[in-house]
Amino acid sequence: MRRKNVSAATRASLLVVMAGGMFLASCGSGGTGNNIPLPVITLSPASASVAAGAPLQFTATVVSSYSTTITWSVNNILGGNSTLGTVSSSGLYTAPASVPNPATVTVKAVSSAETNPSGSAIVTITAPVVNAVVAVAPTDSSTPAGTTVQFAATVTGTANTAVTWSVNGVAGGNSTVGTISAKGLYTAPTTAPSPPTVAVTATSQAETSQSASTTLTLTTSNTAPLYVNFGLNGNTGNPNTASYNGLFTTVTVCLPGTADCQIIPDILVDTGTVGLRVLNSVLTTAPATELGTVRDSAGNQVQECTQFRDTSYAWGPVLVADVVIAGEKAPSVPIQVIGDTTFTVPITSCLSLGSGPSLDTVAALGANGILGIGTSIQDCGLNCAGGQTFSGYPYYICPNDVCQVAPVPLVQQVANPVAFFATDNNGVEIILPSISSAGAPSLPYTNAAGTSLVPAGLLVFGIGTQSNNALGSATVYATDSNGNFSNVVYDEFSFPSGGFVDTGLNALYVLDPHTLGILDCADNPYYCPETPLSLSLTTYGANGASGTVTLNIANADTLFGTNPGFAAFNNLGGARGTGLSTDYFDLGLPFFFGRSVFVGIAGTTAPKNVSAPNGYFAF
Amino acid sequence: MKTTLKILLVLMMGALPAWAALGEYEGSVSLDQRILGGETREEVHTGYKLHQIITADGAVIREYVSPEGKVFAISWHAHFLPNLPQLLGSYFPRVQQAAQAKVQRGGPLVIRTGDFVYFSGGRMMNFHGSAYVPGLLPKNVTAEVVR
Repeated sequence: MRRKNVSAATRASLLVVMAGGMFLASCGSGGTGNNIPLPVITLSPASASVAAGAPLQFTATVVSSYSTTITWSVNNILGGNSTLGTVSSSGLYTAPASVPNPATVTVKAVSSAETNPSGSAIVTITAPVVNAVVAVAPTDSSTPAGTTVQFAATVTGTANTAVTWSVNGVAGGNSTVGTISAKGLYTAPTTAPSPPTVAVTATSQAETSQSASTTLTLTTSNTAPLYVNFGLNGNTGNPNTASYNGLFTTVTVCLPGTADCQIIPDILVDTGTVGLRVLNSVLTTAPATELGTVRDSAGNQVQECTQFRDTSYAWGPVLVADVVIAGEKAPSVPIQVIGDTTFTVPITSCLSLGSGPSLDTVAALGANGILGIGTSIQDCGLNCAGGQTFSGYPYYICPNDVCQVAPVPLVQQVANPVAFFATDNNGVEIILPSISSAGAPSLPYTNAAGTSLVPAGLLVFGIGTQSNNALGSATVYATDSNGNFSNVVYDEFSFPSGGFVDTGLNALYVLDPHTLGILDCADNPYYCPETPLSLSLTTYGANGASGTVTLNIANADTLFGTNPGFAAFNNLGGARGTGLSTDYFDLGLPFFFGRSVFVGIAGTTAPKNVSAPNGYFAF
Repeated sequence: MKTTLKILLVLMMGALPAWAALGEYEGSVSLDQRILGGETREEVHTGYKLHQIITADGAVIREYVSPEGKVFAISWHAHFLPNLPQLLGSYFPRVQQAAQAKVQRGGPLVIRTGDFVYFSGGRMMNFHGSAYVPGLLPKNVTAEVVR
């Protein structure tokens, strides 16, 4: 008897022998009647485990006096298939990409001799063991078009820490989305792409299934990135306390006339207020003590008690800073520094009238500050500049440590920084991408593979001043003296001065459950209609312009239950009241997804010859 | 106007008596008017009376009075939040409690209980809100009258 070890090394010659037709059958007729024993085939290993997608070499040992050839199969399928794994003519088995059901297969080597004797082995396919973990930095950053960003990838769990870089799934990137070198140096295109966000991915070379991705948003001199997330308090996991649909950007605060600046991320972007307000606790390199002061003629420093819709308030001095956003600078503009405790909150007015919490910490505010970019130049205006003082009046002076309300001239009031830019100072454009009706985890967002990308939004400065802020076909709605639509018509009912758009509002607060005939959610302040609701409004501007707005309101319990980690929703609605007939349509951030919305500042020349002395919305 | 200032100064001094409107008898409406210092208008509707106060800074405050003479609802549309302790009276602590407990930012303040309903919304220089006591609603009058 001869022992013939058919291995990868010897197979080639054996195949050549067969291919040449030199098949050596029995000496006789080749039938079973002779006495020559049939080949005996054994496989090694006889049983084995292999990870999905991994190779496993089998060796067939043929004990035979025949010269024979071997064919290989998986579960009796010649050569196997993609579900069960494949086996080559040399016995190299490659497990399928995913674990089959059942997870065991039989690899068989069959002799060509009469009766086809065979040997087989059992293979168990297991889920692949992943060792490599990839991380990329910096995460979710932004950079001006044409600049470079050095990315770093950290690979742990494997000796080979090399990665392959790609942009929007293209290895090395390209001229449209930017290029990235083998060392992670990203070079942005000179023109920002649309949408402005790209996904940068590092893939482990040791385990190509393992990758990490982050987003990079490309800006220009008049654009800043807009992020939507839960804010600095994160996802509380409780619909009653989580701050959905928070809109944020980054603002730079500088000591006036100097290069002593501090870049402050996580600033709320709010078209419902006016002026920059920053927490005292986050001002470190541009400390409040070194900002310019605002004083009355007697030298008293001006303080402010800012009220918010939920009766929370912010107390602190009015100070002067240079405010820089993107490539735009507002020199020496009054801002409010919140949580400066030089003077105690006046209990009998600010605190008791407001009744809510003081937003003087990051935990209370959920942000580092608020950027108010509404329709006016100052946060109070002539109401606060005259000799009268009213209940709720925001400005104070504190002679002898006793704070009292006081009128403050316009130039000393906290002001909209946009109005003080050298150019692009007549308003802003808010651009947010469309998102799924199921919501989005955040804006921007990418998965680890970089294959799913939700872009950031853009805050564009100026209206009709650059190629990127043209009004286009948008309808201009001059706001009325309240800053509202002059009228809103719903279901044939008119609601005079009946609503506004506001990025600082987290949902669509419209009507009430009785009017709509739908349900409030049992455990949170939102609407829970049985099926998604679509409301059609006709909005009117004080200039007579009109248009149709469609609002979608989904069941909030379903939204939160389906995707508990999502922060961004374009269909989150809540009641303007319960049981109260309501005359407002307060359109918060859900309104802005998938739109470009312009907010024009009062006193500027409105486009399309529209008279808009109180400012305007356009969309 | 001088009267307004004087009264405001009294408020600032912390001398605010426990006057209130919501849930109390109509007499408090005129008290509110004095304290808030506005021009007033009275309308008689089927089943209730409406007192409207327009203050010097343009705030519109409405008080709804039942035939029994009790204020069952209030509402406001104003540049600044109104004097809530004055308008809400014994219900003000409920608002304070709810406001202090509210940690979610970005939305209005909503209170929905069987005996007190409250909403405070709007935005800077354009606040609006309302409150009512379901148990005090006059016969055949629904909360929909409150605007």
